[in-house]
Amino acid sequence: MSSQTSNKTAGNDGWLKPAVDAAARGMIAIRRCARCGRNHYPPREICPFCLDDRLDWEISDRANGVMLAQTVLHHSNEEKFRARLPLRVGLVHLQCGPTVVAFVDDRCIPGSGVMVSARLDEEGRPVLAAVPQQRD
Amino acid sequence: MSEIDSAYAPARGYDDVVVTAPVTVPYVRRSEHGAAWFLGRALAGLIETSGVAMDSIDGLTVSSFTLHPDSAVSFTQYVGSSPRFLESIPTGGACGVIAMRRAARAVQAGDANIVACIAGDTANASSFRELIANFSTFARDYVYPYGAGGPNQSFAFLTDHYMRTRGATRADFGKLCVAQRENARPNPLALFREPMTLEAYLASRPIAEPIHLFDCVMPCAGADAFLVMHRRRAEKLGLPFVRILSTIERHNAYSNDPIQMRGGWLMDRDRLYAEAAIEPGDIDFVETYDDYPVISMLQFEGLGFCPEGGAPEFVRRNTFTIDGSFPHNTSGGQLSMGQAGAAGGFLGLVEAIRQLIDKPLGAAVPNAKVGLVSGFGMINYDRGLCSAAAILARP
Repeated sequence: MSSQTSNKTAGNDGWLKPAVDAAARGMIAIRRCARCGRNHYPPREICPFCLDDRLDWEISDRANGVMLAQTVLHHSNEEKFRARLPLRVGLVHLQCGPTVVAFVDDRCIPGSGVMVSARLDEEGRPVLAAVPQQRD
Repeated sequence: MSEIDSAYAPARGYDDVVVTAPVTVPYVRRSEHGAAWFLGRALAGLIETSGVAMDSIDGLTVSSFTLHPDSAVSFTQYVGSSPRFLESIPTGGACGVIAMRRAARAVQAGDANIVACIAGDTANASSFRELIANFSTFARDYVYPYGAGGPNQSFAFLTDHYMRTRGATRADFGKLCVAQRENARPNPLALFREPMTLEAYLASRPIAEPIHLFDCVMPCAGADAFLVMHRRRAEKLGLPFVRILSTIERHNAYSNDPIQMRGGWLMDRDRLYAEAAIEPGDIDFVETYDDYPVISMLQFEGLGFCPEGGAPEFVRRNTFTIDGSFPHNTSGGQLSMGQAGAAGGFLGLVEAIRQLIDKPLGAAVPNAKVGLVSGFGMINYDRGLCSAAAILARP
């Protein structure tokens, strides 16, 4: 068992299950406040804009945004990533509000539009990945 | 913002509360000791340096990442201390200034007579990975699964964005790193003292582009500490001391910025200078939190040494060496001394005290009367959340 999961307190994150289920279907889940209507990420049980706890999940197959910044990792602290280096990761500002960390396709360019979708990683956690926006 | 919130009410000054007895438990790359050993040696160092008895230290602040699962409370039993004022200061790179201002208010209010502020951590083959893998919920679940790059990765985003939007180049960052290494040369406690050229900086291998090896601090083990007490007590003990002119702290500033391009200093710096009754131009040296060079640039901007976005140009026209223009990170900073966990948040403050009592680890800044110390801490998700600064002066 990896350190990331071993230190988790069991049973206190059931509220995250909809995001996990969505990612298993390739869908991205963003937290949306039922009171003030604003979206946030990472997901919380309390709205960081109005402190309400009535929060919904906005689930879609992709979220559009702009890649603000990127890095190419040549070093990782986890063995499982080392075979995949160099690894490109970005910070994407979603049109719906929040900024997310995502794996990014080699074709993504900082300052340009990207589409973000979700999947489950090998440990069963939702992770996001970005590809360039299609022009059609 | 309501009228009540925006009304300017200056904070009370620190009167005759002073800072003294800077102590460093020398940094080492790795250690078999636990964090409590480093913190305990720092406490012993304070007693040895000041001549104050253990029982007279009735206040304690503790900052450490690797003390876990122990705490400031368990540390009192570990070292046999019985303080009547105890604080755990978990603000990482901002913990030095914040510990000092907590301690100063406690002394001023009479909740403690002498407060020992200590910060330290151990380091071994697995401690750094364990720390960053579980740094916070957001970091663990929403950053670490994306390549486990740790702080290098998060600061790479900020550096990449800053370079593109502000026109900073790697040579600008390199100039700061080379100057700090120059400042470290006479400092016997620096892990890295050999000269570094800009060419060597530029040729260093990529770690998390655009961050390369010599942008990164070396995680290590060590501790730093100082005492806070009344001026007359310091005088009676014969301890050289510095005055606190003003301090600020801020957490989670500008949270709606899509990416961090400024820290909290900007929100509070008018207060910082007004309460000290000085201008940025009156500052003789500056100690920033230098993990990483882009963050030093954000501090130059946030603290008013140059306009927002103006740090690259500011870097090009100053030397940052001890004997040059704008003396900066005069002990060599974390880039040269290493980053001993939470002690990284104390390093700049302890060096500023030393400069102002004429006991620097390395070279002295000529005619230094006023120093500014800045802190930056805790990348919880996509940005550093804590900022702090203090202006210190000779008596």
